[in-house]
Amino acid sequence: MRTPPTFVAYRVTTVLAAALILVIFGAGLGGLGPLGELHGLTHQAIDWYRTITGVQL
Amino acid sequence: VLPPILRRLRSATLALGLAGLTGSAGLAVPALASSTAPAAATAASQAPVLTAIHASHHRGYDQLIFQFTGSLPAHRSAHYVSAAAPSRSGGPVPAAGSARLLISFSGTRGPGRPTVADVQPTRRTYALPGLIQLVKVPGRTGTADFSAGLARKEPFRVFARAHPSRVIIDVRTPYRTVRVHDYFLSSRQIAAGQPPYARAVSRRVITSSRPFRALQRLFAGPTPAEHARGLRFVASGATGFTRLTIHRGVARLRLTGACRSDGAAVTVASEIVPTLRQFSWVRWVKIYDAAGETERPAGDTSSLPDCLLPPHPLAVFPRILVIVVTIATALGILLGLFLTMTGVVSGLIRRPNVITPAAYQQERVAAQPVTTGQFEPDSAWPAYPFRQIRADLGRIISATGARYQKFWNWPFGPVIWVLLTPISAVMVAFLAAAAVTAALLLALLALVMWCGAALGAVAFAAVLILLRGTDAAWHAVIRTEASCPRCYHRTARPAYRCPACSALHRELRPGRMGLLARRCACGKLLPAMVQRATWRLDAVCQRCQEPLTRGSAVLRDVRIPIFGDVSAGKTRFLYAGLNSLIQTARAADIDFGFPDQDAERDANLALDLIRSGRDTVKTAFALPTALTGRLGSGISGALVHLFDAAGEYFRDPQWHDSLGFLDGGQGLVYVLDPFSIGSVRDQLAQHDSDALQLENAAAGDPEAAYGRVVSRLRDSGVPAREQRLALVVSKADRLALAGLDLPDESEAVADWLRRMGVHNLVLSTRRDFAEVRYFAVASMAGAAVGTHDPGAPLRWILRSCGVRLPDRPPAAPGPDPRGTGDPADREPAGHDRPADAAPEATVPHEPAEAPS
Repeated sequence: MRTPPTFVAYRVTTVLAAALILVIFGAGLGGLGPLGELHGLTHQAIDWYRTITGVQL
Repeated sequence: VLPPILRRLRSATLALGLAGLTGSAGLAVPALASSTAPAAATAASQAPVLTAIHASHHRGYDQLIFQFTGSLPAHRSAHYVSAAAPSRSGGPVPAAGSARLLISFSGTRGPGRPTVADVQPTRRTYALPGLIQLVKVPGRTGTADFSAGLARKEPFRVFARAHPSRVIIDVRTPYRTVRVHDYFLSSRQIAAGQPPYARAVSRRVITSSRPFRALQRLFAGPTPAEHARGLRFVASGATGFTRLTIHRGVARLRLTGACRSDGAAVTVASEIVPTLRQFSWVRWVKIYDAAGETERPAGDTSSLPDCLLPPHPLAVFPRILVIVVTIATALGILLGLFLTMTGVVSGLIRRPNVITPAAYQQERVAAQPVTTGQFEPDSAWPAYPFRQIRADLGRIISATGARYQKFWNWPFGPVIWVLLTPISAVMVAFLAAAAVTAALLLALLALVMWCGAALGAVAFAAVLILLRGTDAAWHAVIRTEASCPRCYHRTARPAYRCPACSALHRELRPGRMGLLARRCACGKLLPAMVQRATWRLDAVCQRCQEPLTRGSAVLRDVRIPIFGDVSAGKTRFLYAGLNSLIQTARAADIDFGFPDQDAERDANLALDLIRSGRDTVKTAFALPTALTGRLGSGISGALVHLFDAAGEYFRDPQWHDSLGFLDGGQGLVYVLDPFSIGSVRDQLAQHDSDALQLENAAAGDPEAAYGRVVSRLRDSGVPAREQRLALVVSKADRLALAGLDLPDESEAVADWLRRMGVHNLVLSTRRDFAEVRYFAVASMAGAAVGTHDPGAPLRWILRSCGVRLPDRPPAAPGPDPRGTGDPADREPAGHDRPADAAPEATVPHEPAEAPS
């Protein structure tokens, strides 16, 4: 029994939307995109890591 | 204290004086220097003692006041020096600023030699536009030297005042300034352990090279007032900075002097970085030590020299463990991402849990069992948010979880893993990171899916209300219904058969199966609204599943049952009335047709009989199938159902339960045979006894036949008081042949009936029904006539139900409804029945049967 096209469309849309949110969040941690302010968190984490390990990421 | 007007005058005079003295800073210094060259001061009786230093900004200049007790110093001078110029003691002249003004007080031996007393601290910073810092320079005995750091070399003047003794230095500030922030560390915040440790203070600097000037002020330190608030400048051994450049968002500077963090978490970098990053064009700050070294000199990232890096708090082994755990965590995050992706692929593509129509139907039946009189839910695909979304999410989560579980199948027993604790910790961190990542990603996916479903549900509900409201309004306004011509069941929504698989859809309307369309279990897309389905699908009766007329439940539905005694002329009246109705509609340019071929064939056979003046055959003793015609075109049309049952059904009460067509009629027609009235028969017997023999008159009492039907309606709970009744006296033309003329008007017919002795019937009809009209019809006529028109009762009922129809038939007999237009085909409105007419030869119905 063939899956209705509306099911496929809904699945693709939701998965792409979730992936897009994930990419925007990841880019924000890297200082890019609309969530670029999250770059500060990355800096803090890197600084903390460097503080306790001495390893520069 | 000077009045304001005098203060302004003094300021203006000073500004003009300064402007007149100097055209530019470069030219002014020698002139001022010469004008303020060591000059002999008036000897005083007491030695001058410097007791206070004040600095303030006035319009156009900064003013520095040295206040003495006793006499003024004998010698007082001021002049610009280079940064490398030595002081009188031989050391450099240390003051932050772009220009340094050396101020000296001295005198000859005796009372004029200045003494510096209680002037603390030896270095003080000012938040003024021009004056940045004033530092007491160690000098020889008998002299007092100060180095003033200025924002820019500008003309100045030195003059003295007595009472009290003051030496005043005014430095011009002929430039625009802007406020910037410098970040100093708060000793109170650091002591409390509450970040942020750096606090911003405001400085007014020259508009050009703002980052440089902000750092210049930073290295000058806080003002005494800021110092009192606990703000400190932590230099980390640095004495200043050089080579400040900003390129593509990266600011680079080199510290001068020593550089050491001394194990502190906060260093001069904690002040430099926010001070520079306040400017929008600075994103990263790279600080170099005096040797030009920094940790990451390249790339878009901030960087510190090793001397400012905090010491590593952990020992070697824990550091390695943290590093390994961090790597394991990163790998775990990647594993979680991978597991989620494979779970999505497996749950949605490779092995999806598809909720089929049959499974959904079973679920709904299990949730709400079908009771008597109800039908099972339709077998169609539900809309995705109603069911499939839960199945998809469940399958994705279970697939991800199943894959994740495999990673916990460790090859060794728990004891071994306890012994290998560091490795176990790394593995646990790895798997925990994977679990957290997968959980977060699945939560994100679920959030997106449910948010989408929620938004869709809102829109869905709005459209659903709109569509169902439209459907209900249509049903109420147009008075649409679906009437089964066979079992007489009436419903607002008929069932529809799928054209591909013939599956029955009983609940075809906007809902959980779809708003505008639904997908049958076979995959065929079906319209979800009755308005569209009625023209595309085959409608069937919800009860007997027999086909319904096309347009059912969308067009106005008018049901007209015809009842009367045996041989009262019901069938004759039905077709004669139909014939008249067709002619009336055609004359008014209103379409009339039959929705299916069987009905059209039967009707045409009977209409041929009527038009040719021959007799119709005795109605078969079987429950009638409605004769349905469609009046009008498009959605403004109406379906007219005419029910004609054999008279025997109305005689015997045992058949009353099967006369369901009587219940839903918008108007009933009672056909009364005038030859069954006793007084009529008596009168005719006196005039024309042959007429009685010619007529196959109804044998029963007309009042009794009427009473049985009305009793049946009452017993069935049918509200007859809300219905209309057309009492039709048939065979008016036959009666005329026998010498008795019937009137045309309703009340006249009622009076005639009273005169003929059936006044009880007239009274009963008016008591039992909401509205009654009396008609005398020539049902033996073949075409519409001016008087005794057999179509009049039907027109009255149809017009009462809102059907657009002329009140009267056409003046002359219309063309043949079949369109031949040949006058020869039309039977004139004759009154004679052809002698050679053989009913058996033109029987449209089955032979009559006796009731069992």
